[in-house]
Amino acid sequence: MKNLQYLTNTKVVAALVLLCIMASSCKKLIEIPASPPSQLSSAQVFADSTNIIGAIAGIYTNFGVTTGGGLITNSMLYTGLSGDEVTTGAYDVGDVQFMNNSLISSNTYISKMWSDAYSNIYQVNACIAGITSATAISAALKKQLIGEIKVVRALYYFRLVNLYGGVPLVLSTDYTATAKIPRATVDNVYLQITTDLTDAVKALSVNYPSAGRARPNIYVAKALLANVYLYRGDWQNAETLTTEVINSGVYSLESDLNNVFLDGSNEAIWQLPANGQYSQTADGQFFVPYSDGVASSYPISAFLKSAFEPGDQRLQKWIGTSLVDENGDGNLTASYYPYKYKNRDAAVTPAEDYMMIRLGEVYLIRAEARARLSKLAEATADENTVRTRAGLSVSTAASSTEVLASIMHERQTELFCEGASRWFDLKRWATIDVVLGAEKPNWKSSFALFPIPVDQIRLNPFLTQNPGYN
Amino acid sequence: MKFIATSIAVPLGAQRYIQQFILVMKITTFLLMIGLMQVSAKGYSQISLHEKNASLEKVFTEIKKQTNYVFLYDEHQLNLAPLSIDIKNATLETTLAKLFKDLPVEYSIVEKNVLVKPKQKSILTKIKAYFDEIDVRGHVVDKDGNPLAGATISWPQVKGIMTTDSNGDFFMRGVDEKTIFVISYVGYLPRKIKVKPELGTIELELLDSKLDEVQVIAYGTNTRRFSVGSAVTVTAQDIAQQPVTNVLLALEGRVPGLTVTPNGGAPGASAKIQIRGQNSLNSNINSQYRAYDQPLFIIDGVPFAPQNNKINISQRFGSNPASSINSSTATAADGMSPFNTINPSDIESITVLKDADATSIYGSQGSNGVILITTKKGKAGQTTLDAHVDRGVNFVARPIQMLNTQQYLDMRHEAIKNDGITADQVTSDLFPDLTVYDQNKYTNWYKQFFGGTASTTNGYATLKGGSDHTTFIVTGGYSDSKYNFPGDFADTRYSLHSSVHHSAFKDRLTFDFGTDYSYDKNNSSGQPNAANAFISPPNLPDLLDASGNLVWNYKGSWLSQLQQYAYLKQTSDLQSHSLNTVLNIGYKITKGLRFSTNLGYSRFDVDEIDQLPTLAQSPQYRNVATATFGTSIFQTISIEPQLDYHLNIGKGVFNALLGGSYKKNLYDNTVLTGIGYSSDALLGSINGANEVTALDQSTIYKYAAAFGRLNYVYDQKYIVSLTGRRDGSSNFGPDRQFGDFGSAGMGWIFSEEKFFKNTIPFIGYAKLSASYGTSGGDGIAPYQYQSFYQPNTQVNTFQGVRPYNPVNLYNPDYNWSVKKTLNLGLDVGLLDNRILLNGTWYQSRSDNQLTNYALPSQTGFSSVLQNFNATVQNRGLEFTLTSTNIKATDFSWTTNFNIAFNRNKLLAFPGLESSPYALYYSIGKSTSTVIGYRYKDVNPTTGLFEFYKANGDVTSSPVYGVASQGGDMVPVADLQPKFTGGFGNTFRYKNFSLTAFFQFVKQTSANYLSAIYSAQSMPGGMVNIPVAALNHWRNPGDISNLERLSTALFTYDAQDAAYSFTQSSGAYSDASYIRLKTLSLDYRVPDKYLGKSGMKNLRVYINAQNLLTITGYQVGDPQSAGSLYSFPLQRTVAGGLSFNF
Repeated sequence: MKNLQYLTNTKVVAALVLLCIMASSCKKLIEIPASPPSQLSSAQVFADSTNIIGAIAGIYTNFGVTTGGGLITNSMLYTGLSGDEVTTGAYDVGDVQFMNNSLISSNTYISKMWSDAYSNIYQVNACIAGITSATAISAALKKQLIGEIKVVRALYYFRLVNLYGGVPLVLSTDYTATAKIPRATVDNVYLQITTDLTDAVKALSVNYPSAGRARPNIYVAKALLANVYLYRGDWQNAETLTTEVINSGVYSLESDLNNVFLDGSNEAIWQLPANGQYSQTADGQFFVPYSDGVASSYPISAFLKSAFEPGDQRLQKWIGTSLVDENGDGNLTASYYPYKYKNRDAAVTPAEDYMMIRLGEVYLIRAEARARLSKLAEATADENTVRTRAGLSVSTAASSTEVLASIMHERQTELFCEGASRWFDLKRWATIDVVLGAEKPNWKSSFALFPIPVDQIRLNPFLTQNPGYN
Repeated sequence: MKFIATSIAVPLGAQRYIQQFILVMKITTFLLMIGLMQVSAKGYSQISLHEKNASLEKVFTEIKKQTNYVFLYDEHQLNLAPLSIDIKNATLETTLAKLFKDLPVEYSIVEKNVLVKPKQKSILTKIKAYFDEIDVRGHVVDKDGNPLAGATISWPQVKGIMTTDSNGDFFMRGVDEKTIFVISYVGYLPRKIKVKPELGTIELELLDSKLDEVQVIAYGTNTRRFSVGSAVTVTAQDIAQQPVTNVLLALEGRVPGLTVTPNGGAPGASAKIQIRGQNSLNSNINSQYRAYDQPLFIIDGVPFAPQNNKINISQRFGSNPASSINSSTATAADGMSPFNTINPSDIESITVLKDADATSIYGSQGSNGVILITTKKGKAGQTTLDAHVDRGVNFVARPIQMLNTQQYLDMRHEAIKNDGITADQVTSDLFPDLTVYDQNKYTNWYKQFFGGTASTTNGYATLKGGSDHTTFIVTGGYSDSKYNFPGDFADTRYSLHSSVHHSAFKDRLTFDFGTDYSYDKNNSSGQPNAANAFISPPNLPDLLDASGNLVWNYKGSWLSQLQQYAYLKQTSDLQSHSLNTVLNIGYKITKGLRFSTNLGYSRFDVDEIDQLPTLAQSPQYRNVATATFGTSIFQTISIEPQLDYHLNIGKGVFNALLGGSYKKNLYDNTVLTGIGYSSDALLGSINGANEVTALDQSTIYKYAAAFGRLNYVYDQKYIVSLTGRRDGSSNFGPDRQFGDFGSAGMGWIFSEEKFFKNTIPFIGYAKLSASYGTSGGDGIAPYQYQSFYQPNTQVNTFQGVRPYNPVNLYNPDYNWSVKKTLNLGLDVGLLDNRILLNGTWYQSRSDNQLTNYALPSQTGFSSVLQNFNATVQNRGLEFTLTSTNIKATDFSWTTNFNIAFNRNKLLAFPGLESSPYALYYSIGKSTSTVIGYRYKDVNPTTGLFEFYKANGDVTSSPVYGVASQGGDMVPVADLQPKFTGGFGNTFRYKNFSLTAFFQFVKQTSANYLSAIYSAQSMPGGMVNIPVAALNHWRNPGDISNLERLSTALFTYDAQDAAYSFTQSSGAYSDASYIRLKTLSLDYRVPDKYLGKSGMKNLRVYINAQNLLTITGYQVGDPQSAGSLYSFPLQRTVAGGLSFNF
């Protein structure tokens, strides 16, 4: 009956003790490093001035997003397709929906532009909050950094409100609050844009915070604010601010059109480095053909081509031509494309930067503001500054209607494929139905606003769709 | 000598053990005491006895009844023959005097006890007895030499039960040398054996019943007989009959409640696995990926490092069936399977643990069920060499017929007419198929790409053997599966399995060491989208010229987007190295108490090279030779010390397990992209690149737990099982890392009850079991409780500064999710357990759901990790039947059948109506519910799809959203299968064996129309469609189910309606099927024909997989319903032979 034995107490106790030790040191066992090796915690970022600049650099880098559908560059392309600037032959249904004005709310580019914008707005909001409570940097630097990124936020909301109409006005990073924000009115969005830019004007100085004109100074804020006033019909403020920029003496028009978009252009008020690893600017990627004998993915439309007056240097220098054997029969036909940006590859020099705002546009803002204020001669003088540089004779417009029409035309040929300005201009001038109704067979006035992305309406039931879309 | 009541006789030597037992099982003792006290309460009385040939016990009991005097005696010393007594109204003294008059006993009365013991023997008698009685020692094992713990040893003169200890040993003193032992063990044939001092090893033969096959469970083994949890085992034999290279595919239909969804038919492709339904809600509703709960995979006690996650980073052909056209069913598990590195023939068994009793000991890790894979081990005996080789072919299981050129061109012209497109709008840009391509050319692209047959080769050799103390096995395997696709693409695997077992110091120390190493190379092409092979226009020009070069331009029209052959030149090589190694050291501290530690390391390395040579790129675009190098390393370190305590006490068997678990999972990956190679020939190295970008990622997870399990089986009838566990996980924020979970299970084998045995003799076994338990979930990414920034390495620096971007929204508060499971089972064995039936009912409820809650982009991100209060229930019934219908010498027939009904339901979701989830879930409905438009039909006048609005009106442009949001959407389909199951028959006639196994599913799924109508293309566009879709609306007045054709280029009403259609009930239909999953014919060549070759057991066989499918599903494979344009599932037929020396 000895198959049943006593327990050897000491051994059992030893084993139990071992297990108890294990259990009690559980906390230690599951300790992991405070942050993943490839990441910094929010606290670490804002505790160090170098890291803060890294986060600020991230905000500017987001502008150049192309493949993800960045708002800043892609809104230029898609309004160009929806409007009358460019066309596409490529069999990409997403693109074709813009070109044929058959856009639906599930279009992925629509959705990506929206998400990209709010993603960068989040980073701006996070940086404003982080910098405000940071102790690692001086009060002066805080003020300047917050000022410059408010310029960024204003620019994003400006694009959003003009593309989609009133959009949710998100100014914090608290998702419990921001997830259910409904669309603000257009006026309220503009109010925030104006506030941000006004704050920036107060916070920024004449000096650019870093090399070149990559990060906003006071004139960037003033130029953008002038543009906002133009859109809002505040002609007087638009004129005042543009005059301050023009009279600053910091900027001058590049006499050679080929130099306008180069890095270091003296016409640039704000230009961001194109820091893609394979390509330079998104514009160069979109428009410049891959090789000789190949058409651009997005040739310019016949309407835009015919808009240039004879002898316009911009037709020669800002419009590219490729000769393509379209039918495989040896007969070459010409295909035209936007050629403001000439570099596709990252390695090509001289380097080009993203032009966010330049003196040429500021002259046209002032020209239009002055025309509206019935300062016709001064308006025409501003317009002529731009015309002359393009190799054209001075404007012959006389009546206020003619002067205004001439300036509008000048904006079309000077600012084409830049910052979505053509599409926005047609809308604020309320000529979009007349102009595009004549040019585009499917045109309906409800297309002037892009649809709110359907996936976002799913995620935030407080969002409402624009008329004409499901 | 203060023991014994008359009711239970206990061996003398066990008294100390009993004291311990009493300590542990206080309740039993307590009840017993109450019983005694009641007896004592009766008081003194006169005695009347009329017994004839009664046992001593019976007489004592009778006297006790009448007098309240308790008899204390040692049953084994008091082996008395039956006796007779007739007495009336006598005193106790008189009665005892008469009773013991002629017996060799003496007695004394102490208080209320009668102490009875044998008369002291004279020295002479003692000496004689010494020679008559012997001490007996023995060791009881099964046919494989495994010790049988708790086997009973009985002989006629003894009452009660002797049992073997945890090592199968027994030792008894003072047994009459003429005694014959009966050694029995549940599930084994009892064996009679005449005693002698050293009985040595006694092998018991297994009763031929599934009921008693040893089953691997969490941290141990069990049998179906004594299990109270829900566990199902698939054996090596079931796996061997199936010509699959991924062992997960061998589980299809075998286990009730386990669904296996293969992800296309490409070699190496993954398969999704789920046990008893989806418990968690979809984490990111905007993602194309649906959340899919998968079980924990454990190989020989060590978690498999990559689990069932995809191992590839690059997008590879065949690995990602979810084309842009329809990705609603894609999951994060899509991609290449890590299980492809495991040689199925190295697996001894796969046990699927389903309920809380079976899984809760794995804590959070096992909350979605556990799959235990046990590899083959060596066996003591002569060393043998087994060899096996087979070759097979595979071809598409259910081919699809696409339009031919004439049908296609008719479709296009009709669409143009419908859209009112004018002749001048039909440009070569938008309509190259009509304006440029040859209008008479016809290529069946589907056949071109998928119409062939591919070969598979598989072979392995095993050397195994060993002695009593040391056994070993070594297996080398090779497998090669070609892609059924143009190009020389294949998945090739080399595997080495080894295991050694050693025991020392009289088996006190055991040592098991096993290593599995394998290398798998999968080379294919780099294009993720299989759809091109389906939808290319049939009159597309030849894509290869006479000398095999790629054609990019046809009469001025670029073929860049359609040049599928270019993808075949973009090679994508994936090499994986898998190492699983486990060391188990056990030490028997004392009888019944064993300490062991399982140390495991699992490592899975993946190296990928994707090459994009310039020759595979269209000259229409800028050609840049690019190569991507990916390295991923999955590692798991597991340390699990445990203390096992085994105690046989009377009729009870008590087991306790106390253990600790420490796991560390590491995942690292690095992707280097080299751009701008000067020569395609340099693409194999990063050195030739002009520019290199790098990206890396690494995650760490640590997990520690302490757990215990108590298991008590009393009288082979009553079973109690308790587990408890404290889990700690590094995935949670400080102060939220720990959670406590546990389970309780009970079983009652009521067929062992006397009343049952006597009344229903044909039921040999019947058990009721129940279990309830909780488990926690921590299956999330680490660090989400803080906000982080990450350097952006995909761009150049910004003025010399490396840009940072935020990577997540953070939530400091999330905590363990909790799943509660109730499981009730009934097991019945009929006709000597030849027929075994199991019925199981279960219910699990998961709440405090831990998920990436979807957020609108305006928050900056698409989701945030949080717990939310929704409760998901899975409730179901499962039945299995295994039956040996005929068992004769020359012929046998066995049948198995299983069926499972799972009902998933969303019980609660506070605030659902105002959340984004309102479009995905509905209270009271399955979480697989599709919320969409109610489809009506095609309007005979407009030719557009029509749907019911919320108010019952009919429209072609319904409003997005559910009714509470002003939309027209309602629940329209439920994608969870109604039932799933399998049934198989095996016939054996002499040396032939035939197995046919069918798998069946009753379900609704996305139909082929959901794939061909999509936002990006629709019938009438420049894409080919299946012939079945030809029956569409043509002219006003037509009654049809498919709307009018449209190019979707200039008008969008048809496209809009088509888009709504894909979100309507019309896009879902019945996808039920019965599939002849496995057909296996096997012939064993009699050894006598093998002569002197030394060869034995030569078997020749043919195995087939997916041979036949019965379904009403229209186009495509119902088993991968909803992903029409994916790499089709394959039908495989393989023939082979095996033998050993």
